[in-house]
Amino acid sequence: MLLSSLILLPITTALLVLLAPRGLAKQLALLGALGTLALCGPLYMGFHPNTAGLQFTESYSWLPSLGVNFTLGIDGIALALLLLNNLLTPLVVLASWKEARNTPAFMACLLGLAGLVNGVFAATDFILFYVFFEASLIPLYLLIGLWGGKERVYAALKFFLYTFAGSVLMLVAGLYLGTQAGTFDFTQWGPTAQALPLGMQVVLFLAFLAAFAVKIPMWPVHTWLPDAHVQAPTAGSVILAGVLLKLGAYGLLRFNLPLFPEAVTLLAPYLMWAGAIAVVYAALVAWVQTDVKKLIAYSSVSHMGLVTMGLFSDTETGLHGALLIMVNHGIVSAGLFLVIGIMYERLHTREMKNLGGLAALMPGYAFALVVLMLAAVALPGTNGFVGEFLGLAGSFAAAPWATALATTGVVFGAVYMLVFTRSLLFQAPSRFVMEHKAACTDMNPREWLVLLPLLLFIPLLGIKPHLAMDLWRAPVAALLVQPVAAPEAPAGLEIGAGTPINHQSVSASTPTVSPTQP
Amino acid sequence: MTAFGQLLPSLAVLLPLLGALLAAASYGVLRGRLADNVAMMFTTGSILAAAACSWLIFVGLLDGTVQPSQTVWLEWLRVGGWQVDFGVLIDRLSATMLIVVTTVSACVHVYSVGYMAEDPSRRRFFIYLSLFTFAMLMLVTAPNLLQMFLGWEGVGVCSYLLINFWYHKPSANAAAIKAFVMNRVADAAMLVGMFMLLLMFGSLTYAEFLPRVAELVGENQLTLNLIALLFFIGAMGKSAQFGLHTWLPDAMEGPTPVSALIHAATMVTAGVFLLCRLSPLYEFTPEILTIVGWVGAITALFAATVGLVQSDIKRVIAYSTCSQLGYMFFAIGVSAYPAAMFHLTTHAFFKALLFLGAGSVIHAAHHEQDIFKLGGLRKPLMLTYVLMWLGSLALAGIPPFAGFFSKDGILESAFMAPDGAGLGLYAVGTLGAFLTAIYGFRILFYSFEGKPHEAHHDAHHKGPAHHHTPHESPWIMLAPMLLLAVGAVASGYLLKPMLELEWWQGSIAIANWQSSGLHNIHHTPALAKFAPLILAIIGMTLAWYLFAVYRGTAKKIATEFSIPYALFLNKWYIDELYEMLWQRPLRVLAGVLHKRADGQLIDGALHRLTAEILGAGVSLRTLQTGNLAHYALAMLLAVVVGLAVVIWGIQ
Repeated sequence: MLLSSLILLPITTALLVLLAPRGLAKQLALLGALGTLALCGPLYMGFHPNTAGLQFTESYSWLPSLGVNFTLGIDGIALALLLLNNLLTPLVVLASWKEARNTPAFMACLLGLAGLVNGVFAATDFILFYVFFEASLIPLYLLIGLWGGKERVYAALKFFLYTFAGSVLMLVAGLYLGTQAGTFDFTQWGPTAQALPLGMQVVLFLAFLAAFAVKIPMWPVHTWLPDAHVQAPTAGSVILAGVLLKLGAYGLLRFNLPLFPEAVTLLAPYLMWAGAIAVVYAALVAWVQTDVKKLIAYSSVSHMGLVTMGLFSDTETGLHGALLIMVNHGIVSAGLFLVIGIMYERLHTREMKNLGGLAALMPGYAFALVVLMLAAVALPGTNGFVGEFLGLAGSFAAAPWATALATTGVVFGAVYMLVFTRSLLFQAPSRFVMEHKAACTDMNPREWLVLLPLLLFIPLLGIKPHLAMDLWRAPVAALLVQPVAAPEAPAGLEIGAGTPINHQSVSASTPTVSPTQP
Repeated sequence: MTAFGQLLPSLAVLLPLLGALLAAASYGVLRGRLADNVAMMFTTGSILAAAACSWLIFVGLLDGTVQPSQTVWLEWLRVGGWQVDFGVLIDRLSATMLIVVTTVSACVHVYSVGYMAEDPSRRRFFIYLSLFTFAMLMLVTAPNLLQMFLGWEGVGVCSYLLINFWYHKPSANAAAIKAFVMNRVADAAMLVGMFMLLLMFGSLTYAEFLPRVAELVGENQLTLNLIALLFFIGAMGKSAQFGLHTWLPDAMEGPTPVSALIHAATMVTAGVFLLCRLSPLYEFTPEILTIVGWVGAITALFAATVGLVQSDIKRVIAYSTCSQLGYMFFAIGVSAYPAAMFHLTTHAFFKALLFLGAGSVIHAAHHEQDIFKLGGLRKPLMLTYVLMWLGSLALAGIPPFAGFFSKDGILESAFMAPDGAGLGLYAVGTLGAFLTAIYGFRILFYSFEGKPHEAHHDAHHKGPAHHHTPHESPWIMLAPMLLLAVGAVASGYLLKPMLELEWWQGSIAIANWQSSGLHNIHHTPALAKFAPLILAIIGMTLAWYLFAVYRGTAKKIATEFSIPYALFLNKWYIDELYEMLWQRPLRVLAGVLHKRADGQLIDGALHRLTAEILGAGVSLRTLQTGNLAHYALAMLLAVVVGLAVVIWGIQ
């Protein structure tokens, strides 16, 4: 019952918020969000991390004649993302506390979105997954379209058309597979999918990819994201970057990787290059942005490029890296959009030329922003590093040259994040800031409360990444196309290197060299 | 070993972190002067304690009461068959770095109490300093490359924060970003090196992969060379070697104690340390060692030429640091790792002394850093003057000061390298020694000799708080300088045994020790042995003549040789070259990707596509009017109906 409660509680709360007296809307919404978060407690405590199988499974008959059931169940990968989603929801409710245009409908959208996204992570029936996946578009569409900036309609439509177009192809592929397999429980699809001719597998792989590539977003279908972010209200941006982008990668993990291993082997090299290009391309584009929110939006595309690489690297290291980046990006980009929101509430501008010198006026704010910046540039010791290192190290084993290109992203990533930090915090305060000096008060307790949980995860996951990694060790091991015996010994380094070392035949070190360690 | 003895290494590394965290915690409870004092007490106290631990370890290792050890703290990463733990590795190599880092850091902390006394943000300053020290200690005591990298990037970030300390200054912002980004370029190379090591050995722990490096010799020599080269590129960035050096002079934007600690004595030497730590690897890549040697030699000479003509006292010392780091790499190039480490140690003392002396001058002269505007400070700053003399003598390599022993060790190792492989390096290095003496004494004579300059008096008539005559620094600044001066005078003689490979007890590896240049320096011919010294003395004399007695002559030389002068003055135009080669093209590319690729190509196609689908004249761009709720509702319906149709269609 836990999983269905995770879906129903926020959605019910959303409906209640709509019906409740206007003055009570946000309190009710916060209560619902916190209640959902509280449900994650037993979920986390009751989870057995050493199995790849589904846990907390529930099944209700829905359309029995079609083999469509309301079935739920999660593994460690889904659990991690569920925790992330339900952690962020109360934070965004709290972050929108003083939003001028905050209405019951706004809060209802946030809560509804949380419930639907929980549904995506918990569903094990394709139709159910698809319904949640598509329905989650609607609250965000409304958040952007109704409470967004000047170009909100364009951005909302672009977002919707992109993602909708992609997911229609997935629907066709899913229906085909479901009818072939006689069940829509996609965890049972493996044998059916792998029995299909390779050409068909590739077609189906691409159909699923279409939906998820847009969502991630992969280069070159990423252009909806900057517009959506810039137009969305802070809460929308936080959830979009923090959780919704992960739906794409999650879909790849649920469908593309386990169902079509041969297609993965065939197409992975190209997809890894696309990931590497995304890393560098988006980082470069982020560098020349003048709207700080757009800059962070492009940084998401860059980080997600690395997720793509890790996912398709077919190495344990790379998969762990990709998952860690997903979680870390959920924390860090959410935090970055929140700090931008805090600044925007005070100054009502996001143009770099208007900003500057906030460190002197808002030292606490500057501290929070610098910590987030350090995590975003993947400083070792922060959560950003472990993900990036594993993602790149795993990808390197599979595609050294593409990874070498992607590694230059650590340089460009530093460039745009440092430019971002300087434009907000450093230099002498701009004239615009001086004119609005009275508004530039340091963060209030509510804003600290919103940011602190995220800030705490930065060193915590940086030093003890096992807190997250232990959740998904088993399912990740099960996802590898070619299960490798430890240590990972891939087929050779293509940098004109010849064969790698056989790990078994360790020769004694040469006598001419003094040993380093006694 | 006692329980306390086993705890010492961990204490030495973690105390500075504790100090920084306690000082940072004071933000929650304390304000004003009290808070500053508490923060200074916590940070400085913890560094002094860490220094005490470090010396206990070092002395214990020397007399055998402490054994080399490796302590594991906790597991960091375990995945795909490899594992990395946090821990602390103590051997002679890390112990040497421990005493260098903590001693200089303790001196700089104490000095800063005086130097930063008037700064409103000094609490933040001390927290950064202690955090830096922690990161540096992590770097040098890490038992594996990943933890080393944590320290490596950590010192980089602290360096960024400290260069940017006066964050309202655009020049400081730019310098901080430049330092971080250039280091990131190098670090990216190092990351790839780590990926390759992981791929080849499945380990990043020194004790695991270093003994196995020999396995790659032969068939995988190219891979091995590439790994060595990538780590060297990483080291070049941190240690400001030619090509990746341009951030270091700009880093002088930070407060002077920072320049002494980070940009002279410790962080910039991390590259040298790393290559020594990886000596078992580099010994199998002679081609890469040749590159290392020549990059070092070029840096040594190049930086010296630039240092000759700069006018900012701190920049001259920065180029001097760059040049001296070049000597260390050049020593590594001829497998004289012990000589490099020895020079690293002596250099830390005398260069930190010179920087703190420069700070004392700047402090006395009301933040005037232009040596042409200084002068006549000998009388008012007598003690600083004497200490600067000691530092400069050590830098110039005059016996019996510290630099003499270590620099001679390097040059002689090059001269005696097998098959004359190091003769070219020796020649370049000896020329560099001559230039070192000139630029070293140039700043000394310009700052202290001659008449007091008028300009820096006039410029400071604004605030009544300013003293109008230069004044000697307070004892809290002079005392740490005195301590460093002891090091600058005596460390060379006392630590001379460092030149023997045996002294390092296996923490450094040299493939053919018996035939190596370093082993045979005692057989250096007298002429080769004394040439650098003679040239240094000539350089000193020349400096006295040009910069103290007949200052007009220097100007005449500059106008006579205007082309080399302009070249040196403009730092060989390398900043301009990079602007042209990298920054501008990349910025243009980024703009094109943004406007053309994203804007026109991808979105343009999208707009045309929607226009096609939705009918002529209607496109996404024009579809912006109308009631939004209708669209939303329409789409919701479309989804539901579509779904229903599809599902029931199958049925």
